[in-house]
Amino acid sequence: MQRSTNPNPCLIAILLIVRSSSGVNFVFHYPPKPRSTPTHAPARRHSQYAAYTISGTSSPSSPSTSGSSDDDADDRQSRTTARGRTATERSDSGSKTRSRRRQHVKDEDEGDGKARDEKGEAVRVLGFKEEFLAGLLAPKERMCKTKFELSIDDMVFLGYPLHVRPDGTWRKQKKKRGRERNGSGGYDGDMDMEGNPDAGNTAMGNGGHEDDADDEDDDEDGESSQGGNFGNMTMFHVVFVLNPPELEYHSRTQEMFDYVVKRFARALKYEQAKDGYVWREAEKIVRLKDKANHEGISFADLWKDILDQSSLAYAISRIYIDISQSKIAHVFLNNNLGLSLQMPILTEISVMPSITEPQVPGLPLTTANSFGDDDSEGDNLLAKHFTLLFLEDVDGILKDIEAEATDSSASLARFVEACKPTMSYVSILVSKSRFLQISNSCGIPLHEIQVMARHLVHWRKARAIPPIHQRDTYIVSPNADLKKLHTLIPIYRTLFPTLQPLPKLLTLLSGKPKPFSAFIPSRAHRPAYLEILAFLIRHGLATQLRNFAWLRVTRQIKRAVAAEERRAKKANADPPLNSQPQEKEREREREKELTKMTSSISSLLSHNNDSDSEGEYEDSIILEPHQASSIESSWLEMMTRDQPPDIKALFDRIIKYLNGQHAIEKVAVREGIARKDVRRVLGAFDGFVIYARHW
Amino acid sequence: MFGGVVGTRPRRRQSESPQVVHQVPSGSVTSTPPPPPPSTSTVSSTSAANSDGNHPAPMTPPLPPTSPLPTSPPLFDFETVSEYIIPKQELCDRLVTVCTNKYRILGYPVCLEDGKYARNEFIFNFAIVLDEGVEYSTYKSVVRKVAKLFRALEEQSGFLSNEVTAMGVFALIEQVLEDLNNYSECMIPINESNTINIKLFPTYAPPPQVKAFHVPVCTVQLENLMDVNWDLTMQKIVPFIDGINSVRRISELADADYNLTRKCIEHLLYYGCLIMVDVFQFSAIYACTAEISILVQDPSLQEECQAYVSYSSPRIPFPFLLQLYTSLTQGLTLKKWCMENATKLKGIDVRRFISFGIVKGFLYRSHRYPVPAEGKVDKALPLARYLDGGHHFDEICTDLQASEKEVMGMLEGRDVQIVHR
Repeated sequence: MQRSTNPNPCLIAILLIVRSSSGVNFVFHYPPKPRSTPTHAPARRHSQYAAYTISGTSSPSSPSTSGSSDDDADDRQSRTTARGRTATERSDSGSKTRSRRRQHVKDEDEGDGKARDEKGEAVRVLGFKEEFLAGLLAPKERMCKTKFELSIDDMVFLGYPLHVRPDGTWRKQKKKRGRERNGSGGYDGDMDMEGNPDAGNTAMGNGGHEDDADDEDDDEDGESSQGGNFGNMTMFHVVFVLNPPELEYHSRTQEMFDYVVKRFARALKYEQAKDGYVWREAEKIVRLKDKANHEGISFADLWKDILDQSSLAYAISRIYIDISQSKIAHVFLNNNLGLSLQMPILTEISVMPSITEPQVPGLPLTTANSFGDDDSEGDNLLAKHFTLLFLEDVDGILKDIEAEATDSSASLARFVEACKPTMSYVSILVSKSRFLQISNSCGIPLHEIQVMARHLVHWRKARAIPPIHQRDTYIVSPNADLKKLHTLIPIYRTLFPTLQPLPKLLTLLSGKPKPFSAFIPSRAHRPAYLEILAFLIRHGLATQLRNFAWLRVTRQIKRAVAAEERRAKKANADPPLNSQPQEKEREREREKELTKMTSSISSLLSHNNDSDSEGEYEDSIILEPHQASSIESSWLEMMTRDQPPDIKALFDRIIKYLNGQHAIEKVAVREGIARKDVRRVLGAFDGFVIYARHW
Repeated sequence: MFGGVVGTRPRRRQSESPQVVHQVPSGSVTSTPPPPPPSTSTVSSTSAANSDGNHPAPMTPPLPPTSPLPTSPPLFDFETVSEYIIPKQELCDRLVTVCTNKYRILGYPVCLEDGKYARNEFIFNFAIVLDEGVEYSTYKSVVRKVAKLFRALEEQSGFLSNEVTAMGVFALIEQVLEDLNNYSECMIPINESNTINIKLFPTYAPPPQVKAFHVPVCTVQLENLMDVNWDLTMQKIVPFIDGINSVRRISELADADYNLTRKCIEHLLYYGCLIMVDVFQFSAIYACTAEISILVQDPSLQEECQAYVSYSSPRIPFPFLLQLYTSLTQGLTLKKWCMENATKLKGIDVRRFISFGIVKGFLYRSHRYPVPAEGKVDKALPLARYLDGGHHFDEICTDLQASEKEVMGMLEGRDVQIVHR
């Protein structure tokens, strides 16, 4: 299935529906006047409703179809995110059905003349009557505590309805495990863990309940003025309304559900279980609405009041605003629980999109993404030698950390500060300082550093990169967004007023690749230039060009090995006098020889035994030199035979990196070998190594 | 797979709830009707469920012959979702899908208002049941189409509400299900004037925008596919699609309108008959991408490469080719590279050598972009619109129909930096 790399939350609205003893109630929605979506129904073009809907899901990189006004344009565009669409296009296609439906709805309205109907607009959300939507989105109990997904034409209603437990409580009491937390300032933590699909579900879903559930009611009595109303609500449902492009339907809805819908619903349930938060807020909102109805307060003022007075309504509005802009939403529930929600975004790519694939200019291009998702993951060793490139102003980040004030914020702040160049004399924003060094200097254990680094990356404050080094080579990133240059040039100029202008520098980097030090005029300029380099990398303008290597076995080596084998075979034919302690060794040797023989024999056979001709041996590449087959090992042995022992030893250590998957630049840091020595070893095997240079 | 017909009675204030009238396979939605020999479930578990409304009299759902086989439980609980399948009027004439129990129920409820029905309305829904995770967009048109057909049939002759004809609905739906699952299409005559014609089409992404400087490369033998009924422009341009000519050039050579040419190319691209590459030039710069490691690991790709790039018989050893590929680098024009490697290029067709890498994605073209040195562009100047960093020389040259030298001449004296990307 097509998956676009562009972020596109496709969020239209968020609704809150509550069922209580008095029936289903459409409590709140945000934005106040959500735009409807186009339907796929007959797309005749009327213009009278053109103003009815608002602009499209504008994705960053979208030239609109150059004036193609064919009839299927609209249909085509609704399939993927890749392109933007214009407001008129969208609204047009839906107008016919919508107008018909409005007619429809109007007819029904006449029957039950409710007070609020006078305000017309206010009662209808997304083209439906509030009451109707409420009924529709209040599923039966059996559909609760699981994903709710209902789509009407191109609009998807996605939610995680939660129903009160049979005993009237919202969460099974657990005596032992302290899952309850006095969550303050939960940047991540528990919510993330709860996000594990169904982990908590099963725990809470089945079986009997303990009797101490009443405790909660008591607690609640103290806090809430509504006392007895705690049990009034039987279900609440926060519904996210989306209009995903056709081809991205599954990925978009699933992502939204996993990262936002479910987490938010669970947090609300937690607060509801604790002291009836959701019900309290729902009542508050409904009361405000009723009051507004009586007093004739305008719709806009009413919404302002609601957002002012209800923290839940405010949280919903924040989530809508931030998530629909692909930002991180921080909300604060019940004066108590901080919750951060975000949809994961792509932060770097390793494969260049071809010219017909959707482009994401500006995304960093690198294969050095060795920042595994958890500690146990593969390249941990390397992660130690990564460093952080802050994407924002460090002071701003420090301020944010201060504002959060949790247990760990002190060490986090220390880390963020230490990540600064005071370490090695690189400058402000980056860090040639490696985590290991940082760890030493700020006295925080490495493990914690990695957790914190991951945290900063997760919250989009930083990006993990291999440390910047003036002896490494950098090029203009093939994915650089040069259209952004005109906005970057002024920023650059204020940061580095006396140095070469940005376009000039990019021109320099456009030439044949050279180590970055070649562009630094003097030693005194080095810190400033490294700072520039950090700037370029941060904005995706430059990327490191790294070397990847493979071992090539030449014909000559193969021939030499084969000749040796033949000799050995002859020698083997005379039975060796069995004696001496080396017998075992001999045995092993012989086995090895045998396997070699068989393989070489088979190769001989396949080539119809014109054994010594030139054509028989051909250069080849050893794909995985550290897992070499027996014949490959003998080739390797032949290649290293004439080298001095220290070279041989070093070669053995780095051989596992010579499979085209590892940048040679990182060998030194990972193995703790001096760069010079790495160069020396590889130099010794010059004829056998093929280098490829990419990012 | 399973299909089902769901029948429901007209909605009334406090009366019977909607009912499933037909379901294929039986028992897949409600377990009440004892199932016929279960039609074996298969691949993508598409199931058609159809709900149509019956009216006044106690319902005698036209059930298939009963055989009391124990069956698997229904796929989902109909009661739970019935309000989404036989919904209120507001949802009628819309595509409504709902997910439950890992299934997606895709339907298009239709409401007919007529005095002949009890309560003056008759709501039916022909619904399809799919696995929740299945790409379902192709079925949208199916439910829409069948709903409209049934509506027409019902309006014409009471096809669904008339008990005689309603009997045939089960068989009809069963056949739709079987045919769609087995052949992805069906053609079922209903009466003299009505036929169900359905074909499942995959949904493709819209084709990317074609630019004048793009060079289309065929992935199929277009000449063999083409017949006299093809579009005229298409017939004109196809002979010129040779992997060398740019779209602009093709339109010139074929003497066809450029915009029509572009549309044709987009069309071919949509169906995957083409891939796009850059113009091949010796003044261009090529370099490796990270995909090069895939080439090294894939022997069959290597053989393809060896066969494609050499024009003489002796096969060129792959490590040798790899070394050549990796010696292409940023900042080095192909011309210079050829001179540096002149001795090694024996038997190698350089154009094919490069285009193989581009097509397979392990080479990329490093384009030259003019950018203003001061960031701001004086809008009054000619060529100013090309200087925002979004246009490379290929594009400017094809646009202006000028050579690179001429363009450079036009930029002479302007404070412009050339950035290679």
